[in-house]
Amino acid sequence: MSDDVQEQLLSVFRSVFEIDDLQIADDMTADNIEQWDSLAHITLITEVEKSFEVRFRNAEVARLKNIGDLKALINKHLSKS
Amino acid sequence: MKFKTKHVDQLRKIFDNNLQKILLIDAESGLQLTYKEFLEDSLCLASYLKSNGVEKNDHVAFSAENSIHLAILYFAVWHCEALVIPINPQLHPDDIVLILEDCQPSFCFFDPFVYESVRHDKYIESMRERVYCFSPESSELHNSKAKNINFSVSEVIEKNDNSSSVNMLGNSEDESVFLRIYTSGTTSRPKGIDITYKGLIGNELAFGKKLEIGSENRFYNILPMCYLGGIHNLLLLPIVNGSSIVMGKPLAGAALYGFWDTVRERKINTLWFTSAMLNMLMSLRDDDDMCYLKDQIILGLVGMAPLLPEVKVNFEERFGFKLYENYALSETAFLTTNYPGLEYRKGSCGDVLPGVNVEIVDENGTSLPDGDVGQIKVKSEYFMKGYVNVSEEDSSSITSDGFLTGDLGYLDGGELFPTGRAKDLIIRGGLNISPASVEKAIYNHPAVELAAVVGIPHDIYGEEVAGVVTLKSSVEGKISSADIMSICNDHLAQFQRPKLIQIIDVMPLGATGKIDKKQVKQLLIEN
Repeated sequence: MSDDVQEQLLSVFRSVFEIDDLQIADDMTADNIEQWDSLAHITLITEVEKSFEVRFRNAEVARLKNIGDLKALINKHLSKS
Repeated sequence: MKFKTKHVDQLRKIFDNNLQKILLIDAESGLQLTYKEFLEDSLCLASYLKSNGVEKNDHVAFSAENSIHLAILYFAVWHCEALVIPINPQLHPDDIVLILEDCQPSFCFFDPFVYESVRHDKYIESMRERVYCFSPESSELHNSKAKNINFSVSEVIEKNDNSSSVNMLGNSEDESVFLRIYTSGTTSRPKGIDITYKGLIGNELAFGKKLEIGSENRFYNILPMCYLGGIHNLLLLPIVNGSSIVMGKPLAGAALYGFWDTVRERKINTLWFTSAMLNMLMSLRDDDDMCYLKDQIILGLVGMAPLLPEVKVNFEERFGFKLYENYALSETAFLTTNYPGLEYRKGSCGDVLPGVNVEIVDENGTSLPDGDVGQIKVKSEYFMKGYVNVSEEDSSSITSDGFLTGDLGYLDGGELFPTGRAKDLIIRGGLNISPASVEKAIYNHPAVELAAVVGIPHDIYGEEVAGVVTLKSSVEGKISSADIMSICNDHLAQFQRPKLIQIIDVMPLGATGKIDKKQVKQLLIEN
């Protein structure tokens, strides 16, 4: 399941940031992608929710420190559904 | 109270009267500093700075993210009677160096990531003995040649006692310039604005009185302290009125989603927003009970960019507290404000503050009656000391009997209703962007014949940067808008880059042959 999440998440990132060859890693943060500003963050979270058909609470998103945390949150919600 | 030091003395008095009260709280750690502790720490740092060569009237540049330490450092510089010159760390490194070359600082304080981006520049290398860099994580930076690469505010305070003879604000007078802000003007070079104690403190007292700001107000500083919003609205305004401040990071990313949690946890009751912040908070899902806000928030303020009446109404309805919009400029500080007790009128930025005169004038400078739209002209006790290195167009806005703001609007019953802009400027999320600076970047592409950049409406930021270009006939069909975007990426900071570039066959021109930006804007909006 984890590899699938990684692939699907990568596809969301590439689409949101419009970078076809973007690569993502667990320790990456907004500092690593120049286009990742406030508005892009809102768009990213919305697109992740749509793509994985999950719904995060604001407090959960507030605690995310990097992409690894986002993947863990997605997995947590997927395991519940 | 001496006449020449009335406002400086008032600031000193605020500290004397509030020594045991909380002044600053770190949003993340909860660390608190009283007015007394803040003063002692800043005097201690001032003593250290003086012993390292900072002198009266020196220019001290800062390019760093918000923190309690940054606030302490600003005051330390002011105790040395030197000028604080803040520079947005998000700017392109070339622009940071441009400002530094313009203001010729005696000393610089950088966040590690800023230092990393500019340290190989010849100008920075030439002054590396006077560059301070907050403790960096990168080992490469540790090995750099800068002398003060491991500068730590906490360590300096721990190691130095306050036995020096530094006094609060030294011998500063009301007319002393203590702050220079660089902001976008009508050309590609940012303009410097010199600000005096009289200008800001006097203005903050007048504004605070109108809004009944006092010791019970606890502000949340989420505006960058590299612009007046973070320094004037959310550092000095609260201090001058004896309030407390929770020091946070600018509203972005995860911080946005945790915004209300911090407000609740740190018992913040006074909030300052830009229109873009309101839009972003409105875009978050309403999955928490926000009823507590109605009782907790005693004041909600909005400024720095035009606020759409429907955004105000929707926000107030959803979050349960009122928003009071004001009108201010870097050159003038606050000019008007709405306040509790003044019935809100759609589009109004409220009453004119005491000490300020607002007039509406036509193209010939003739005063217009209530209700007629013209350029907003102001005369204010709180006006800046002056511009530094500005274009003729910018300096011509200062006339013998007032300052032409470049904004359009009308007066009605003493209230100001701004309606648009007369000058060529984009305001994206509260930040001024000069179209000329973006056009200059686009012209770096050898295929570009003509370029025109404008602000187009955007749901969140209010305005977004967009442009049109015509290409030289020899390259038509071979160059795409992505190629033009790419050149912008090389020369502009992320927030300044156009999000839309359209290649067109013929540039819209006016009767005099000048590019018609109204038509350009219309073209981009339609497409």
